[in-house]
Amino acid sequence: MRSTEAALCAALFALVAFGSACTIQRTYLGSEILADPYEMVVVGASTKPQVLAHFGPPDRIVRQRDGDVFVYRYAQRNGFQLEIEEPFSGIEIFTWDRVQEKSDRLLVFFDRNGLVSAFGFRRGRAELQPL
Amino acid sequence: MLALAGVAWLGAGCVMMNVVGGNEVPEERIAQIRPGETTRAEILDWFGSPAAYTDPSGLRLLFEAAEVRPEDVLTFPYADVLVFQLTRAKGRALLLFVFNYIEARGASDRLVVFFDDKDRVMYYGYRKGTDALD
Repeated sequence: MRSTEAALCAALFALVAFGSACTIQRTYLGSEILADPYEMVVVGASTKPQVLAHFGPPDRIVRQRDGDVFVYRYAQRNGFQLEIEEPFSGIEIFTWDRVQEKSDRLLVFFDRNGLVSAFGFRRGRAELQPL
Repeated sequence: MLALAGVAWLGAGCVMMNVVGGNEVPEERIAQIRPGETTRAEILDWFGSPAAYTDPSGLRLLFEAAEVRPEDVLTFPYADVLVFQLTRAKGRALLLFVFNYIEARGASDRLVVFFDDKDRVMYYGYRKGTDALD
């Protein structure tokens, strides 16, 4: 037990003495996509009011010559940084940064009559690594 | 060991942040919107000035550093669509000298209303996205 405590003390001392710091950052923007578009959206049949009812107002509306595009996006950014500084001079000895930014994104294309002509969906946030 | 704990304590801190941009979207009015009946004038009367751009600049700057920021919902001038939006961001940070955790969340209450060529509501969509921040 004493040796474990001693090792813990030594590790803590080393961390403080060398000015190391670990930072975990999480940023979320937007709202979850409310439903599974593969279940809710039927190409050639679903209308704008139906899409608005299932998914709410879009985060972006793009106007095209052939009809609107609704863009839904829920973004997440995971950051991890490990920094080790020399405690007296403040010189960084080692820095390790990892940033991942992924979005759940749904694009719904409408034709001129307001019917869904196509849609694309990807759950990008599922690809995020824990750190 | 006590000295180490003291050093760690001195370096510790906690930060909380709450930022709001835009105007409240009165929910009680949303139930009164009737497609085919409600006019653009009524919508403007009930909800006030629409968002010329729906991304308040303060929040844009806030998220710019993190490279994640809200996009403009609609670039005016599409006269047949109006957007009303309130955006809220919450952040918290735990700073413990050797370990730091920072979390920020941003979401919007948003109403998008589409009009026909007679200036009557065709359809609309509403979502109270800021509920997820609580």
